[in-house]
Amino acid sequence: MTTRWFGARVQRVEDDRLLRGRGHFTDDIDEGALESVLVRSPFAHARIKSIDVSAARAVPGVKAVYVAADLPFGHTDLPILIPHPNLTHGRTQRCLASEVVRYTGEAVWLSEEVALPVQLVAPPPDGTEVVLGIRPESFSVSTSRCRS
Amino acid sequence: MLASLEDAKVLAGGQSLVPLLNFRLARPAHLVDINRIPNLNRIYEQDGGVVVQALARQAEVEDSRLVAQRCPLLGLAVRLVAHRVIRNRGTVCGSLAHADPASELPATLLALNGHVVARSTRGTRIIPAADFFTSVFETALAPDELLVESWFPASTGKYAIAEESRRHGDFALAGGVRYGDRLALFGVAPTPVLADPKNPTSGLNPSGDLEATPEFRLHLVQVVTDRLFAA
Amino acid sequence: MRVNGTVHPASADPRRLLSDHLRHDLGLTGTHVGCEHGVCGCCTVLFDGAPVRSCLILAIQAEGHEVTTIEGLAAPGARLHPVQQAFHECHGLQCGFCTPGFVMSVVGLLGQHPNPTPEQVDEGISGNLCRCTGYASIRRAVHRAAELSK
Repeated sequence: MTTRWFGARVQRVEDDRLLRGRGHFTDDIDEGALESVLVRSPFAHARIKSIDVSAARAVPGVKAVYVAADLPFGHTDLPILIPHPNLTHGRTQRCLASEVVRYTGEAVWLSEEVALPVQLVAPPPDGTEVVLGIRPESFSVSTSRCRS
Repeated sequence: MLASLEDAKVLAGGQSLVPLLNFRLARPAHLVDINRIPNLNRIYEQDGGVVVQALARQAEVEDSRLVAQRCPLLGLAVRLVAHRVIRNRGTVCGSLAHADPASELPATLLALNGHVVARSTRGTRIIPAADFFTSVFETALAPDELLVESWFPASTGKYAIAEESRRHGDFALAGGVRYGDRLALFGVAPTPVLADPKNPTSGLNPSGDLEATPEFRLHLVQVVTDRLFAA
Repeated sequence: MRVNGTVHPASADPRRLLSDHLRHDLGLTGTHVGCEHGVCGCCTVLFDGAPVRSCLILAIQAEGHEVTTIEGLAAPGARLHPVQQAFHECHGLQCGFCTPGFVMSVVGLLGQHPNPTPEQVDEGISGNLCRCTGYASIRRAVHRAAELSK
C-alpha cells in the first residue's frame, strides 16, 4: 500500500455482479445436490433396541436412509484426530448412534431426501430400552430441490 | 367452494398465512385462493364510514383519499402494520380474519365499533366487532364462511393509535386505539379488548414470552394509554 | 407468468413458493431467501410493478401477472438502473446478499416517493435487513438514487 491509496476512495470491483443478482451464494449453486436430514434422539441416555426405517425409505423422493448398521465403520468410535499425551482417556462419538444414545440430540439416522421433516415416536422408555420408529402420516414432502 | 371442502383455509394476501405454512405450523388440506374473484377489492363509503372489501390491499387503504377523509384512524392504523412491501399484498379483511392478538386492525375495528360481513352458501350475516374476535387466531367465522367486507365507521372527534414494539414494523408488544373515550388494547389479551382509559390495566392478564414479561406489557399499557389520552 | 418480460409456464406444484420457483425452476438466483416469513426482505421482487415478498407468494398465484426480479432491472451488459448505480457509488453493499431485496424495495419506494424525506427513506428501507453495512451507506444510496432518477 503506497501513499497513493491511503485516504483515497477505492471503488469496489465486485459490485456490478452483485447488483445485477449474479452473486454465487451457497444456495445459488445447484450441482444436483441432495438435501439431508439427521434424526436425533430425544432421550439423554437409552439403549437402542431396534431402528425401523422402512417407512422413511418408502416415502417418495427419499433417496437413501442410513443408520449406523449401514456404515462399514458404523459401530466404531471415531478416531482421535489430534492425539496428546495428556489425553489418556479420550472419548469420541460414533457417526450415528449405535447400541446406545449418549445425549439428547445425538444423531440416530441420516436420510438423504427432499426436505423431509420426520417425527420420532417412541413408547415411554422401559428402563433404558427404546424403540425408535416413524409415523408415516406425519410426513410432508416439499418438492423443492432435488435434481438427481 | 368453502362449503364443499374439509380443512380449507382462505388465501388472500397470504402475508400471515404463508409464513405459517412455511413454518409448517399450519397444514390445511386445501387452500382456496380468492385473489381472482372480480369486484371484491373496492373501498367505498357507507353510512358515513368506509367499507373495505376482502381483496382491498392494505397499501390501497393507506393511499385511499376516501379513508383519509372519512376514517383517518383506519389510515393511521394501517400504516403501523408491518412494512409497506407487506402491505402491498396483505389485506385488511385478511388481518381481521386472521385475528392475531397483536394486530392493529382488529383493535381499530373494535374501538370504532365496526362490523364485518360474512358470506356462505347459507346466506350473508353481519358480525359486530364486539362479537367477532373470539380467541387467539379465532373468530366467529364458520369454516364455510368468507369474510367479504369490513365496515369501519367514520372517525370524527378524537382518535389515535399507539404501540410499542422492539423495532418499527414488528408485532406490537402492547398497543392501544383511542376513539373518543373508547380504548381498545391489543397485544395484551387473546383478542383485542376494550379498557377503561382511567384504569387500563384492570382485569388484564397478559402473557409473558421471549419478547416481554406480563409486567412489562402491563407497564406498556399504561404508557400507551397516557400517550393516547394526553391531548 | 411473465418474468422480466419473458413468458414462462407456471409452476407445476401448487405448493411451490414464488421465491423457490424463480431460483430453482427458472435459474434466477439473484432473488435470495433469508427468513421465509417475510421479515428480512431478501426475497423482494416486483409484482405488477409493486415490491412484494416472493417467499410469501405461491408461484401459481403469479400466473397472468408480471414479475420483475433483480436480473430484470438492467439488461445484461446495459447500464445499471439508477438505484443499482447509486448503491455502487455510495458503498451501499458489502457481501451483496441483502442487496437485490433492497434494490427492489427502493425501486418501489421511489415510485411512491420520488423525492423522499429522510423519514420516508428510513420508513421505506425498514423492511429490509442488512448484516454488513450498518445502513448508513444504504440511506445515502437511496437519496443518491432519487437524484439519479430525475
